[in-house]
This record gives sequence, C-alpha cells and structure tokens, in this order.
Amino acid sequence: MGDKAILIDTTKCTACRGCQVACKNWNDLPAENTSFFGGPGYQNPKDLSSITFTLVKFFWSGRRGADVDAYGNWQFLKYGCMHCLNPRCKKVCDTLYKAIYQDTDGFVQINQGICQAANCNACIAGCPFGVPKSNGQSVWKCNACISRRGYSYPNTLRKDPVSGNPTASSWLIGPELAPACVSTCPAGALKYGDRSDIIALATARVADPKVRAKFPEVNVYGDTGPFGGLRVISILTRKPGFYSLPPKSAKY
Amino acid sequence: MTNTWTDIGTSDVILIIGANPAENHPMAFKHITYALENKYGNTGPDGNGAKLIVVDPRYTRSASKASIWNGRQMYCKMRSGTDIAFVNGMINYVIQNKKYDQPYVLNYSTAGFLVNENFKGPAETGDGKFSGFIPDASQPVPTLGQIGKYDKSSWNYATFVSSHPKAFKAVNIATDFWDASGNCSCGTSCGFSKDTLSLDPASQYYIGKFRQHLLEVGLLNTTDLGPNVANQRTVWEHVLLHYARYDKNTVINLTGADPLVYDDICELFSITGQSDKAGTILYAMGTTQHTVGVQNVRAYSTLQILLGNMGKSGGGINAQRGESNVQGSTDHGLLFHILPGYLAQPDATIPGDAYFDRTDTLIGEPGHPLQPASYIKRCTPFTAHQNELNWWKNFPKYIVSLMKCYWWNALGSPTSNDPATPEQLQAVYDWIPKIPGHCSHIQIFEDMLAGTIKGLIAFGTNPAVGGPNSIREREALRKLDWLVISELWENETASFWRYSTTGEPLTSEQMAAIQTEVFLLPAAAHMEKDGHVVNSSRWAQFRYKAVEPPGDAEHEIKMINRIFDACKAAGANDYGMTHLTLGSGWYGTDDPSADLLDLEINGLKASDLTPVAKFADLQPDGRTSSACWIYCGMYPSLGTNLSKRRINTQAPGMAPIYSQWSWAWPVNRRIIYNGASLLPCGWGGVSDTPADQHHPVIWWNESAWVGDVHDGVANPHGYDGHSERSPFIMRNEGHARLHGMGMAEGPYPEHYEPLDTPIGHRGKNPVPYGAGHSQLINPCIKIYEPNKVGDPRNYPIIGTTYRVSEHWQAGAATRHLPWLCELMPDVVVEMSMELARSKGINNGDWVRIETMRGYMNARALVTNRFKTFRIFGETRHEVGIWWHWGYKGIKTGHSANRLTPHVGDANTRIPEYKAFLCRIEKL
Repeated sequence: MGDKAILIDTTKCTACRGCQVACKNWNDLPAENTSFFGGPGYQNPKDLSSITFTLVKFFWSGRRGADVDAYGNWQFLKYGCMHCLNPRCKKVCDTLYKAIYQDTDGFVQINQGICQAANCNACIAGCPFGVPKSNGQSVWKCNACISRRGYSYPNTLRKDPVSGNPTASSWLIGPELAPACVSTCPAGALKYGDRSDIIALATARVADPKVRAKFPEVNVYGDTGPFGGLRVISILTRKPGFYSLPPKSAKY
Repeated sequence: MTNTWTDIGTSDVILIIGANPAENHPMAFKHITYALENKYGNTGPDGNGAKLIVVDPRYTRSASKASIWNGRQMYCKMRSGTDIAFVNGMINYVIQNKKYDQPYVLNYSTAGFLVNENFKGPAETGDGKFSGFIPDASQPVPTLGQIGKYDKSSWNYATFVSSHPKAFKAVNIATDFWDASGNCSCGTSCGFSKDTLSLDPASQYYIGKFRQHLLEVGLLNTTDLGPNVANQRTVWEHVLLHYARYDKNTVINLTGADPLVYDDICELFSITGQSDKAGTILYAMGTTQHTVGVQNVRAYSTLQILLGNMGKSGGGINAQRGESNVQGSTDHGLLFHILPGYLAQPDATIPGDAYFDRTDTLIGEPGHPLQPASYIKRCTPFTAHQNELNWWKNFPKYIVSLMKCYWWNALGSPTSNDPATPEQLQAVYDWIPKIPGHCSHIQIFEDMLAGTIKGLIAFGTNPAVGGPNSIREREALRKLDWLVISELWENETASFWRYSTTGEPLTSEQMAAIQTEVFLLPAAAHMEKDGHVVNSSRWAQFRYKAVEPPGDAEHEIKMINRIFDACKAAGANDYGMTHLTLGSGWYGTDDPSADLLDLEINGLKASDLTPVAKFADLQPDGRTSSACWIYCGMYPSLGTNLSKRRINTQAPGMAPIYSQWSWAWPVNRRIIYNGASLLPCGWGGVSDTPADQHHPVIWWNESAWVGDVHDGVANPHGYDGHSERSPFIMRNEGHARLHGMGMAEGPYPEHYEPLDTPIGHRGKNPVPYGAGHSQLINPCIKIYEPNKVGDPRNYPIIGTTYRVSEHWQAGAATRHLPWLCELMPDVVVEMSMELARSKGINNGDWVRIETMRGYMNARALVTNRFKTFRIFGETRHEVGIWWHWGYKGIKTGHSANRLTPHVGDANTRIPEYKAFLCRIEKL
C-alpha cells in the first residue's frame, strides 16, 4: 500500500503488445472482433473500449530535417488510464454519484455497483485523455490490476462485461503483484513501484546521454504535470503533442 | 547460436540482419536492450554503450531501436536476396581498410593454408562459378545460368597435411622455424618473426612468402609441401581476389542500400576488429530461407572470423530459432540428413553406405567388408596435425553408442562390459534406415505428388499453410493414402479434405472423392506436458506440466510410443523393428516419463546401467549407449538431471553466461570455440590472456582453465609459453575456415540472385568480371518447376514474407486465439507510398498479389517503412506479406505461400520463402 506508480518507457518499448494481451488475460476481457482499419502501423483495436483497457498506439514521425530520422521514427505508446493524482473523472462523479474513488495505492477505481445503477457517463466527458468507455450499462477502464495488489473490489464482484458472470480474477490474489502489463513486458519498458522511485528512475533515464543521442527530445511526462501529476509516468521519445497528449503544463 | 542469449548483453556492436527480434523474438530484445544500456559495463565503440545496426528490406520494430552513428540512424535497407553482396562488401571494406584482427586471422583462421593449385574462384574463371563445375545438360532455365554440380577435388588444401601452417613437416614448429626470441631460425637476418608475419601480400613478411623463404634456406623441402608449391596460393590470396570484386558501387547497385548509411555500417561494425571489442551478428529465417541460405551464413561467419569475433563474449554468429524447441528438434535428428547429435544419416545413394538404393536395386555386396566401416570412415575426419584436437575423430564412439541405444540387446552385452563383435556391428548397421538421397520438405511433397510417398505423419507442422507453393502442397496431400496429424486444433492440413486447394469449402460429393484417410490426434499444449525444451542458446531446460491436458489430448511421448509399439508388434523384422529397445521395450512401461527419456538421451553404461558421466567416456564398441552424444553429461548420475537446475547467479567480472542455470550442450559450455577469446601466441596456439579483460570467457588459474567450460584448449604454458593447439577443435585442421570446401556451390560466398530475380531480364550477374557473367542464379539448386519461374518483365515487384509478433508460424495456434486475432485480424501486404500511388491503392484497400505460382488477396498497408530500391538505375518496389493465414481459425485469409516457389538452398533445400517476383492490382 502506498503512493505507487507505473512507468512507461517508450525508449525501450518494442510494441510487441504483450501488455495488451496480458491485460485481457488477467481481467478476463473478451476479444474485440476487429479488422485491419488502415491505422498507423499495426495498431488494433482502434481505441480503448469497455473491454480494452490498454492499447499500444503506433506513431510515425516522418522525416524531420536531419539525417537522423531519414526513415522517420516509429514510436509506440502504451495507452490507457493515466491515474491522475487529481482525477477529473472523480471530481465530476463526486458531485453526482461518488462511484469513482482512489484505492490505497492511489489508483483510480470505478465502483461498478454504483456506476451501473447510475449509468450517467459524465466521467467520459470529464477525462482529458479519453479513457473511460461505456458498454451501455456502466463505465470501464484500467484498474491497475487492483486484484493483483491485495484488494478486492468493494460492493460488487468483478463481472465479465459481456456475460455478467463473476470471473476468476475477481478473486483477491495479492498481495502486491505488479499489474499484469508490467509483469509481462519483455522489453523492460514497464515498471511498477513507489511513485518517487519511478520518477527518479525516469529522470535519470532521460538525462542519460546514450538515450539523448538517439532521442534528442526525450522527456518525462506525468511527474509534475499535466493536471498536477499522474500515476502513469511516461518517458516520451517525442514531445507530448506528437502523441496527441495534453501538454505537460495543462491544468484543469 | 555460438554464444548465449545473456551474453549478447556484453556486445559492443550488434548487427541484426535477416532477423527481427523485437517482433519475432521479443524476449531476445531484452538482452539487446541490456547491451545498449551498458548493463555489464561494455564500452561500445565510442565509450557510450553498444550500438545496434539493423539491415532489412523494410523498417521494422527492431529497426526503430537502431542506434545513431555519425548523425545517421543505423538502419539500412537491402533488397531481399542480396545478403551476400551486402556482407561481402563489408568484408571487402574490412580487408581494404585493414580493419581485420590480424593476430587472430593469422593464428586462428585458415588464412595461411595452401590451396590446391588447380582451384579457381569466380575472379579467375570469369563465368561466375568455381573450378570443377559439371553442367547438367538438361538444365531447365538457360536464361538464368547453368545448373549442375561440382567436382570438388580442386577445392581442397594443396596437400592437406603439409598445407597446415604448423605442419610443414611432421615436426614441432618452434625448434624448426623459430629461435628462443621468436625469430626465424634460419640464421640469416631474414626479418621473419612471429610478430612480423603479415597478411598483406605486399609486405616482405607476408605469410605466403615465409614458406618460400623456408624452402630457400633449406628448412623445408619441396617434398614436404608436395608438388607445384610455387603455383599454390594461400587461402588469404584467394580471399583477397574473391572479395575485392564486391566494391561499394556494385554492392549498392545490387542491394539498393543507402550508400551513406552503408559506409557508416561498414565503419561501425569493423570497429569490433579491435581485439578488446566484440561484435555479434543476429540472424534468423530472413537469412536462411534463400537458395543461397547457407552461403549467407558463411558470409556472416567470414566477416566474424576476420574481425576476430568468434569465441568471444559479445561476439559470435547467433541464429535465433523460430520456435522454442527448434534447437532441440534439430539436435535430436529431426532433419532428414542427420541422426541425433548431428551424425550423418547413412545414404543409399552414397556407395559404401548401403547395399540397396531406394528401388531395392543391389548396389553393393551384402556383408561387404567396407560396411559399416566405409560409412564410419566417410564420416570421421582425419587429424590434419598431431597437435590439433579434431573432435569429430570421435565419430565412431557417437554412432556406435547411438546404435547401442536403439538396439541395446543386439550390440555387445545387455548387462556386462563385453564389447560388440564386428558381426553384431554389421547387423545393427544394416537396420539403420538409409535415406534415398535428398528427402527435404520440398522433395517429400514432390514425392507425394509423384505417388511414391503414400503416408504422412505430421507433428506440429502445417504444410497447407507453411509449405512453399502451398497450393501445390495441398494437391500433394490429396494423393496420400493416409495422414496422421497431431495438433491442438484442426488446422488447414488436417482439414484439407474439406476444402479446395484454394480454400473454398467442398460439397460432400467433392469430399467423398478425396480418398485420403485422416487421423487427427489431439495434442497436449506446452503447458500440459513435461519435458526439456532447448532454446537457441543450446540450453536444455526441463519444463514441468502446469495443468492437465483437456479431453483426450495427450503428450507426444505417449502418442509416439504407442505408434512405435504397434509398428514393433507388426514385426517388420527386415528393418530391425522387433529388436529395437528404444522406449517401452527398454523401460517396460507404455508411458515413459520425460525424465526417463532424458536419461536415455544422456546414455548408460552396459556394465552397471548407470549414466555415462560425459561424452568423452562413450565407447565405439557397444559398451555404452547415448541417444544423442551432445547431451551426454546432462544426466551425469542417477537422480541428477541438470536440465532441472535453476541457479540464477553469475560470478562478477566475467562474461554473463549463467553457467549454473539449466544445462547447455556440449558439456555445459556456453560459448563455443571459447579458446579463441584468448589472445593468440605462437603460430595457431593460445596464450593465457583473454582479449577482453572485462568479460573474460575462460582464463588460466595456475593449473587449470576456469570460467566457462573451456573448449578443448590445452595448457597455455605447455609449449614455449603458449598452447600448441588451435581453438577451432571441431575442424580437423583446428582453424576457422575462410575457405569452406564442404559447400555445394563454392568455398566462398558468391552473390547469386533468387530464382525469381528482378534483374533476370538483364541476363547478367553484375558482380565484376569484365562485363559481368551469365550465371545469375545458384548453379547447384534443384528447380522443380522450370515453367513457374517469374520474369521481371511480367512480375516486376519483389515480394517477401515474414512473421509478426502477434501470429506464430502457420497460425495453427495463434489464429485460434481471440486476443491475438484481435491484434492482427487480417492478412496484410505492406507496400511503399510510391508503389501504392502508382497503382491507385489506398491504405486498407483489398489488393490481389500474383506470382507464377498463384495469387492471394490481402489488405494493403501503405507505409513509409518500405522504400523503393534503385537497382542498376531501375526503380524496384518490394512488398512484404504476413504469411500465417489460412482457411481455418477465427480469422481466415489467403496463405502467402500460395505465391512462393518450390525451390530451396543448394545445400539444405530450405525453401526460398523470402524473395520472389509478383505483381499487384487493386481489387
């Protein structure tokens, strides 16, 4: 328990998408019936949904002047709930139904019992990252694998979003397994730990001349901003705008 | 792999060519990342971490992590099928700029060996071939060159023994040629010393001139060297002649590589020629699946020998295996031409190996005194010099121990130390099946088409998707009387009788017309069974069953054992079936455990039925058994299966090889030829000083080698301050071969085009010899369908096929898993913006790709990651197709192998999946 965070190091990510599969596996989420949609790179599905909590997005930067990027750079960003320190989704919900709360590690959770009863979707509009998604009955998003961290869901069992049946991973597993995406990452691009340690790690990585030689724009995102800080700390190879992320200076 | 996964972390420069580890070996990329991060303190070429170079026809997920050097990203595009030109050009750069590791090349390679005076390479013959070519009059595609085979008699060393630099005479080298201070002992001030010997033919101290000098001063007689010594060239002189033709201009025009990046790559990788730097080459199917696949690997090896990277931590050439247990399956004799442990399979087409050819025609005398002696003699190399280890001289021990394992009771005594009689050896040898020449994948499907093969057992393979020219292979399946297939799901091969060859469902009448009887055996998946799995690092790691297999699914051990028992009961006496002791007969159970099989693989002593502790203890006379000699030592005593070992600690200050984790063949050695990690001393011997002091592999501790298990290296102080033995112990001359006389198509890698060549209409192979020559394709391949060769005027686009992270092999597993189908739902062809624009194709459109073999439909992925190539002034497009689709599974689509040709490498016949000609139209 405590002040935790997840690190996403895009300088190491190879977009194998093991995290996407591990997330579906642990959370017993069904597959989406996708087809090749002509998106950038190999991305699929197109966006997050009530059954897709995390997604590797592909970006192509194209030529940018110097020969360094003669072939452009193919960038990958694992996308999902950023677990804001001061989540606006929670702020919105607090005024209405109080279904959103932060667990004792600080990750943002949705109480599905309350959310299903309310089915108001206000948090969807409230999120600056476009993360929460509704399946028509309630809103779903990444829960940072709460069932691996020693807590069960309050009030309601985790249910399969399609069948509504309780699922195996709704059982308390803990204590303190890292989220499934982190455990599975073969590239070592994902880390889980105390937020201060994660920020120190990210800051050191960004200052490393080896990393800067390859990624001159490398920066830490989520430590102090945007929105007062996030629990998903990213090392971005390019500026946030490249990934269509709000600038680090963004405030509510 | 010569090295080991974890050891890649100490590399200074990593060259990925013909592989894409970020996508196809994701776990491997972790170790590459370690190197880039300096995890083990490697300095890299500029003191700032390892550098990653990626060479590939398209910009891959691996390429996205390529390093920056000279302000450029170290990704270089290369037209599919031009690896030899690309790498020979690097070799030429290394030679011209003297970037090679001279002490290493002089001492550890065959550079100083004399070659038969009749040998000529393409630089001299002028026709693109080597000396000794015998054209086949019925050769099928004259526009692309001649087809035939080689009489290799001129390819050998001059006189093998006397050619050995250590063996000008059958005396030892120091007293005859060197005085105490290492100078030539001729007594004149000739200037030759161990230190002045040079690889530069212009130097007065060139190694070739040293022989001449010895002759002149009378330290050597011409009779010691054989006739015509004046006409004999050293290997090194042939090396210079051969590779000089791969000048940069030719290479760029052939490969379509970016010239600036190519220069940088040559410069960057050749930095590893410094003795304390190591560079590694990682390759996979992009290298091997060509008509020149083996020669591609030889080109890489040659580069690594010249740079002194073999045997070192962070060096080597490292093949990344396509499946978790491909290494294990080849170790255990899955390929047609080898028995377990890489022992040559007796071949009925080789006189002396067998009495009968495949049509039962007598070609030798039964009881011929040469058999099995002639087979053993054929497979056992003689020792070229008394000081060399020549490990394969032990071949008789390994083959007889294998025969003992198969026929325990028929060879020697089942329970005592009595050796086998020659009659027993003869009888048991007769029972070993003799192959009828080539039986590779393509050949057996051709034989099925011809009706000579009537039944097929397919375990873990899906040829209806994965076989080249898959429609032809689906037709071949229809000719079978029976098919046994073991799978997790009913895949395309198992259900071929329900579909047309192009994948449309058949009516019940149409199905009834197919006479093949199909048996589908439900297999246990990898988590549902015990057994050791061997990774690319040669580590045998025992894996325990996690869950019970569902339904009737069973472990293959049990399935194979039941088939085996049934065959035995059916009693095919002629072939020794009833005498076989392998499996159930041995253990008295119909359900042998994986652990017991490990014991059988390791081997046992007949005297007391205890394990053989190491393969040096195996005997050539039936007193020991071993099902695979390279695994002897994995199970050194009863109850000790070292593949179950899980100690993940690593001694600091040495190469990160994690010696106590599981067990690696041979004898738990993690880096092969590790004697070459030591600085050379003397002529061909090793010193006690590791070249890389930060990551030593082995070092001498007063009286013994420590570190990794040393690779047959002798005492470094045993002889005048150095070892008398050269480190490449698997070669009978003890030296790394720059001149590979065993290859089918020549001792040096020569660029030949793919069978479907985009420069075929030019009629010339442009590798310099005057105006070029007409040998465009590998002259030693077998062309099964000469009327199905693509012409670039009709099929102008280069095609290749590859895997992606999300789908595995023929998709038999991954296309049945919803989460993976979600990630990669459709078969896709990747193409450049330029090609798409010229054809009016938009991203996501359905297109048709067509070759001489067939067509397929796919979605277009239009991307910057493919670029056009400039090939001799012409613009050429290349497209890449994910190949895993078929007509079964959650997501279906056309198999890319509908397009690929039935042609393979001249040595191995691995199919040429990676380069063909096609055309594309929007649907």
